[in-house]
Amino acid sequence: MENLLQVRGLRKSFAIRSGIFRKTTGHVQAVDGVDLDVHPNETLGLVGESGCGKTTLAKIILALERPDSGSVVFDGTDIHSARGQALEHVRRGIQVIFQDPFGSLNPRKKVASIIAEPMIIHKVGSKAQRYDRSAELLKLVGLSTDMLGRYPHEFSGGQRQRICIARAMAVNPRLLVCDEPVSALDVSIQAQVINLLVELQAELKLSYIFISHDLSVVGYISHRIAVMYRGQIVELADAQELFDNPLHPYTRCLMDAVPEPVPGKIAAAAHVRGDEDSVLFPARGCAFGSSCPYREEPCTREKPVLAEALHGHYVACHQHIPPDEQA
Amino acid sequence: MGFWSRIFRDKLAIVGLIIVLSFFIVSILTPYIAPYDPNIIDVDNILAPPSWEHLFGTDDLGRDVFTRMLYGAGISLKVGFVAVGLAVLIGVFLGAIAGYYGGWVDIIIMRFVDIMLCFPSFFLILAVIAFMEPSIFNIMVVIGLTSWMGITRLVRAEFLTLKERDFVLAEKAMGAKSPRIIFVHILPNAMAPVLVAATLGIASAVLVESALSFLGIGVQPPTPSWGNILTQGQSVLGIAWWLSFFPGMAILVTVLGYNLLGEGIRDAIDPRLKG
Repeated sequence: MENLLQVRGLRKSFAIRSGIFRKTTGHVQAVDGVDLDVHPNETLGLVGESGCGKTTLAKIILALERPDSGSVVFDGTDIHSARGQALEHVRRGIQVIFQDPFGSLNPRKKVASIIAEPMIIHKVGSKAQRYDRSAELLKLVGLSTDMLGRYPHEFSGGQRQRICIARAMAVNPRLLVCDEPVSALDVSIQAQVINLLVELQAELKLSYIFISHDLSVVGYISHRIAVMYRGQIVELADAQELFDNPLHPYTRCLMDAVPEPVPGKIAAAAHVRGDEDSVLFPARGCAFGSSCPYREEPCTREKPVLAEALHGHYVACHQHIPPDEQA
Repeated sequence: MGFWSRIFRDKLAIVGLIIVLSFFIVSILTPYIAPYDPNIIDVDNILAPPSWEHLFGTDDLGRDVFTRMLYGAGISLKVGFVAVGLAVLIGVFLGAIAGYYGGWVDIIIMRFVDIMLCFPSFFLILAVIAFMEPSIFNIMVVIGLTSWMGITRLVRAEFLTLKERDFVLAEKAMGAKSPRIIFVHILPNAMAPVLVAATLGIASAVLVESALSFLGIGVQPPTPSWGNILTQGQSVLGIAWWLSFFPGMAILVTVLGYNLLGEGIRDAIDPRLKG
């Protein structure tokens, strides 16, 4: 299958500065060698704890940040070297939904002009056409068209997120990057918004990159799931396969941490220790090494790479040697 | 509660608004309500005290002080608005660029602001005016060119926080060009403190104009201005108090009005700042 988005060897680090002279005292490796593919009409889930680099990865894919190295190719175009027409094509093709529905809409603009904004930027249609399209989009996301003349502060969180979705859909994107789109919403509203995304995907043949720290949400919407830990993809598999057969110790920790609504069942104690220093100065070995209950000698020596352990199931762990190397 | 209902509950702001509006109306209607010609000399009525015929008395050339003050009100307003308008234009533009782009652009602009703030502004204005023909136009420009720094700092600070907001990131992700993001999306969100600063700035521009005219390097006689009427009154203070009292009161009330209104707007925009 042709890839819609192809991410190769992406790295990005941020300098930590301190003191009056803002001297660089260290680096955080926010994204550390990420390879990803997104297929057409597919949802790729991206899970990981706070600060693991999910949002940085999203920003690089949106060309809001430049990577230190590596490439992001969308529909055959390298987005970080694209200029002019090619960049326009990328900007139209990839749209975004942010976590905070209160911050992602300009408080001084009416809904009509918020939704029309991407069309204005990409010079689509006349003013009247854009207005009609905005009304159409508002209906598409389940809001009534008489809301076009209102300001964002008149809406609830779920409604605002619907407006964000309508805006993102305005220029018929092919890839939607959803950065924690439901984390700020009530659980009942989360389901509505997620179902809306699922319906839109079926209708418009979209691809999503769906970022969340909530494994159950990601599991519900995604076709494939990538688990991210300290800037690396540590496991990548089909959603069902990942839930049935988590291979990476970190993925298992995440699974254990998902609360199950079973009375009497006590959640297993989380055995991931916060080890802040190693975020700043990654040790030579496995990033998860110091927290890993299955750690062995090679784990501290060598960084594991993402390899296919089972068919279509990739994991970066010394415990899982690819089948063809086992012999 | 909305902006307007908060403003209307603030009695002092209402007083300020009434003062500002009445000076506005008066200066627009001056040609129709002025009882005399401001430049007609009446040698029979030199330094006449206030009476029903001459409400604020007459000056040392027999001109009607009330009429001259009406014309002076227009000049004060004009100077205040044009000078502050210029300061807002410069301040907003530089502040927006400094705050949005950051880095070297920011450093250069903000150090330039610091340098401008090093000069005692009134003496800077005096020094500049000394080299130029004193005229209303020059005064407006010079006051404007020496009072934009505060607005630059305000706008920059607003931009620093606003540019990190998600709606700005969304604009960038959509492919909007920087000028569109700066002027269409961030700026309208940054204008509230500028409005307050501009209102307060008008008060100080009116003061500066009066002071310059008082010193004889502002509005030149025979054009009337509150400041140069005060100058006339200075030499005859012992025998004609009205020549100093009324323009002085006019300046005081105007400045007070703008300050009350400015503070009222500030409180109405952000009730948390009240205190």
